[in-house]
Amino acid sequence: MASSFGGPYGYGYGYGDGQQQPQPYPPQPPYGSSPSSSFGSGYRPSFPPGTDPEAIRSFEMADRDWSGYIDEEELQQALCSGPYQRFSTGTVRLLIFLFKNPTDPLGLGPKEFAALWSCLGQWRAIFERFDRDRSGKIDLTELRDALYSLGYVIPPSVLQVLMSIYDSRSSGTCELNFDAFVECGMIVKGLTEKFKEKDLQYTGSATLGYDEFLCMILPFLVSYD
Amino acid sequence: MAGYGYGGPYGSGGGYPPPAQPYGNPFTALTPSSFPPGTDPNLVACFQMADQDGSGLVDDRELQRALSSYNQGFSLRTVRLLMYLFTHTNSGRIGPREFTGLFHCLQMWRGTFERFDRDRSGKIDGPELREALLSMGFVVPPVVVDLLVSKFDKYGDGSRAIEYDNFIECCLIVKGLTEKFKERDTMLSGSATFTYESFMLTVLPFLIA
Repeated sequence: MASSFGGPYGYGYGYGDGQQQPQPYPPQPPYGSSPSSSFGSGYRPSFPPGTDPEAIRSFEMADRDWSGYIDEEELQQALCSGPYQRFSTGTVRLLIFLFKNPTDPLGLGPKEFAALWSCLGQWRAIFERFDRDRSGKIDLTELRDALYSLGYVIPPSVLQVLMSIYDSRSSGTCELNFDAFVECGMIVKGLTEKFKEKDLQYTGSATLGYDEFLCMILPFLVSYD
Repeated sequence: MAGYGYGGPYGSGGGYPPPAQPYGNPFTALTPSSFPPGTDPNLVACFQMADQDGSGLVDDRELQRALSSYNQGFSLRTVRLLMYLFTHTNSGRIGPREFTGLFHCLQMWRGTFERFDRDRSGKIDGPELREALLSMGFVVPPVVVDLLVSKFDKYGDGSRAIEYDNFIECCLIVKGLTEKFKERDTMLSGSATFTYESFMLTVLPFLIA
């Protein structure tokens, strides 16, 4: 489905989506690698250069067990005592799943937390730009426009499906608060990126193996209680 | 083609009652179907009790209530997934025939869960989940099983096991995604081609509810 915008997904392929990591720097020794480091050398998780000081503060305040990692509960705390409101469990879990380094079982390290914080900041800015009446909610058309502003073209049929999913959840209002917006946006964006990885010819189609198919998709599964 | 057993890359897909006939027409589910002859009268009564307005169709909350009298409670998300799988639509309504199919499928899965929860802990772990899925004809790679367990392991206490209602959800997701995949892989080669649009349409209803 080639479109006139220069590719099957729309122009830009998500350039300027703000998820670019800062330039790689020589890896710091892992925080907490020696048993005495938590208290012996002082609590000093290392953040990438240029990290928003608010992110650093939030991390330090949230990491109440001084583990050097932020788990699900601590993240929820960090978010709602920070510039955001309380997120649903599903969204918090999804964020941790997507941002966590698989080799860190305890949760998000400073670098991953900083990336998440920056990403949320981007989504927040977009949300506010498209929540023109300042209701705290945006509708699906505005979601489509928001994703378009990041370079993602959502087919109308896909928007329909999203509408019916969020409609049943919010009992008919078809509007997303910031939490749902983040969830929806991250999943749509994430899946699109995964699909693009398999569509090397940029044709708009990809051939997937069964295992590959499941592996691509399941990280985005939102688990609720 | 390494690693395929049970007759092809997806497994035989047997071991559970076949789902309701796929409806191509999204309006079909809105027309009440009827109970197959010989349906257990208790099941009929259960449905009729749930169908409070006598329309011949029940919605997600009514279904959730109806199921809780036979099983332990399911989350609305699981109920919606069930409805989606058995009506092949997002209409949010289910008729008698689909209800019957759904019910029997749940009974089947309950039996499987109990079979694999050998220590009767009420939970099954990764390897047991893999075996359970295999017994239903789904050949799911270990990395995917690990993903599922980590998503559904509620307590995050490292026990890495899932409970019954999450097990049902796992089955629904694996079954649903596998069926959708097979629709595009008619040669059962293990590969399917998706357009971006069809990929998103296929996958989104299973990921978000």
